[in-house]
Amino acid sequence: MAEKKKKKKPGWLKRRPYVPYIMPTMAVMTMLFVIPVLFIFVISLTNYRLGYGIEDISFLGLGNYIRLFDGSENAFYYSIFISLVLTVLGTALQLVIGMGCAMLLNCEFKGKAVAVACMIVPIAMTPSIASQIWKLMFNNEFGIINHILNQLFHINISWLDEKHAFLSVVIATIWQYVPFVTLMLYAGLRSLPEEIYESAALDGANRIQIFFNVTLPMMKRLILLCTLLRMIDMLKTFDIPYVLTQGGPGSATKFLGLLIYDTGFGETNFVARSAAMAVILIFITSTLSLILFRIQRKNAKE
Amino acid sequence: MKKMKKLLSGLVCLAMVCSMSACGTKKQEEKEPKKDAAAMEDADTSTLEGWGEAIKASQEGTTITALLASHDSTTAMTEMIDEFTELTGINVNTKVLASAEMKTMQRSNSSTKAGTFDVYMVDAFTIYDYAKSGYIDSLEDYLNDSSQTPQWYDHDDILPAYSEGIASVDGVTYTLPIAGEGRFIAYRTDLFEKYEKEIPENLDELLELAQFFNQKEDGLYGFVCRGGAGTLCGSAHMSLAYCFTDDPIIDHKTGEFCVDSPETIQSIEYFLDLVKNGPKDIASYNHEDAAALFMQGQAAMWFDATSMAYMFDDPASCSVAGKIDYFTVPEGPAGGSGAIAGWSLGIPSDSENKDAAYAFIMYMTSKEKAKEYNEKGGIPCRISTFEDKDLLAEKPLNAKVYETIQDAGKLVDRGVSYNYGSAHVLDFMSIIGNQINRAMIGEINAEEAAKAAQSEIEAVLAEEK
Repeated sequence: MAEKKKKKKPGWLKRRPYVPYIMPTMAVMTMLFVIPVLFIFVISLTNYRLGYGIEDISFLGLGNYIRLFDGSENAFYYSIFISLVLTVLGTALQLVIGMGCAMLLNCEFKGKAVAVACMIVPIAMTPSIASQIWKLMFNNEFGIINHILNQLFHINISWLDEKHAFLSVVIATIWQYVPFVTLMLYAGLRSLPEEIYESAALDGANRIQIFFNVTLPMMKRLILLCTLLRMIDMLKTFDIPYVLTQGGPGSATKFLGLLIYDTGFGETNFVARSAAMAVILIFITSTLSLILFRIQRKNAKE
Repeated sequence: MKKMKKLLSGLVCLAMVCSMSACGTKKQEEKEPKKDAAAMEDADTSTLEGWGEAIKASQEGTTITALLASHDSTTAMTEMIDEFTELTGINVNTKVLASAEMKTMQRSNSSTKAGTFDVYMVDAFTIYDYAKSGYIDSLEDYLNDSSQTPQWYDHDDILPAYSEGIASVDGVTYTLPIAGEGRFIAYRTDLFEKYEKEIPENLDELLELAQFFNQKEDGLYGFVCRGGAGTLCGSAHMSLAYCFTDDPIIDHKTGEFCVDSPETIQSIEYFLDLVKNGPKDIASYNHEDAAALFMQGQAAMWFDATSMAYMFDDPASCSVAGKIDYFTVPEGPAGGSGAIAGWSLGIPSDSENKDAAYAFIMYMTSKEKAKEYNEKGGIPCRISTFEDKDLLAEKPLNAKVYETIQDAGKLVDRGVSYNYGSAHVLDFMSIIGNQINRAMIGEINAEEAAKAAQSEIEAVLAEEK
């Protein structure tokens, strides 16, 4: 009955038969994502600070955004800069190491199950707890890393000082997220057809040629997806540097997430200003994902 | 099949509607008409039991909600709630959050006058803001009313450094102290004996000692304290700053900020000189790192919170246990005054059960219950507790802590408040701490740090107007 009725009534819904199917998801998305983002955007246009009543709030228009870019917030530029460096460096390293591990996992060896189980540990562990442990390991005086370095090479690195803090954050993020990349890429490697490898081997291709000409092109989509996920995650990094360095020493590891937190809640109560920064972060993240999505789609068509 | 689907979707809808309405009805059931308040005045409240009966007569069945920070004192209080409910008939719900989240919740709750909570656990650093913004009520009326505050409460028994330093604003009592700490210096007695060194009389001698011990032995540092960015470094500096001037941050007479004053710059320079005798990465140290280094026997002196020092007694975790003694912050140009911090309990002004809330606060902080409270792990705030012989035998460190807090009380005598009167004490401490932290790693010097902090503070204040 219902189907017949629909046929008789061509219109907006008929041209979009998928609408009823995606409605539930859209509703949830709207509740959980669209409304909060709009809310942040509206707040970013005001002078709201924690503790303000309704009567204290006034609209500033784009004042908060202009402030960010007219040079009065040097910390903001610096934060964006180090966030981007962390994103690019972190993602690249995670992908390269992750790919390497995935290739290793793809070989047959004894104790593979144990290796996979070990991979789960960083994924299962909360970053804040992991960072606490890293903080102990990085300790200059009694940290295990320096102890080993000292025993082997007689060197001592103060991991959490202003010169190395950034590197330490990168290392901790690599430990935390490489297994995720590895398992994802490993699943991809497992699904590649054997025949292609066989014919490549017959043609006399060596291992390096096979990797660059066979494996990588076939894995391209998955690698892009991994890149996308990791980049977004790295851009909004908060927990690891928050526990490891509190954004310090100085501002060596004050990434955008930390700056937003400090402005809104940590140091000052400029919630509106931090909302403006958050909107910029959303903007950067969405732009990046849009670009990567485009590339991925293009690849899919090819 | 279709019917089945309809039925299912109908059920889901129903469930959603029910869960929504459930959110709304929760509060109403707790309201019960208050019983005869006059009963309170005739009752004999000179004993705890008598007071309990009187409260029961007027408040039985009332439910209060306390917003508390996760803290040893909170644990002790939580353990005492059942007893309190039995005595007074007041039911207590608690919401325990990490301190930063708790403060955010207090602010948002009070600014919207939601009336969700009846008791706040107030950080000493936020009390000025809360009192001035009208978030919490003055307790003076309650304290002066002997039926509400019977003799056995003994308000004068609370350490003056606490009752005046962390629980009142401009001489008006807003809260009752529940936990507190100061900062003192722990030193290695074995090292001091070995090199025949004495406890320093003043800050210069302290610096000399730190320099003397630094690298004196393999892997030994002269001095360690928290030094990480933000409030870590800010509070460490502020704990020494009052030795240099009465007004290191704010001019107590004019209310103007003066972080760039010569005395403050001097205090920052001193702090920078001192931490140079610490580990290389001290600029990322939090209180735990500092304590860990000292417990490993790698620092001759440690400067941090009294509450941290209790773990130094345990030989299992502290390799130098038994070789440690303490001294209070030595005198500087303006005198010697350690820092003071702490927690107290207050009543949010939007509470609807203020009498019951006061009964709770009074009970928990009373002299009558102090011993039990301390035995359960609550942090002592009363003179009688610090002087209690049984407790002293159990925790000998209490004597030093007592001395430190009394020492910090000198600040009150000097007429200055460690939590200088500003709504932004914590924010500014964080701003100053960040700049000093930059100076610690050599990005800027002490004067630049002070000036940068001053201009940042001015920018925040300009925004207010």
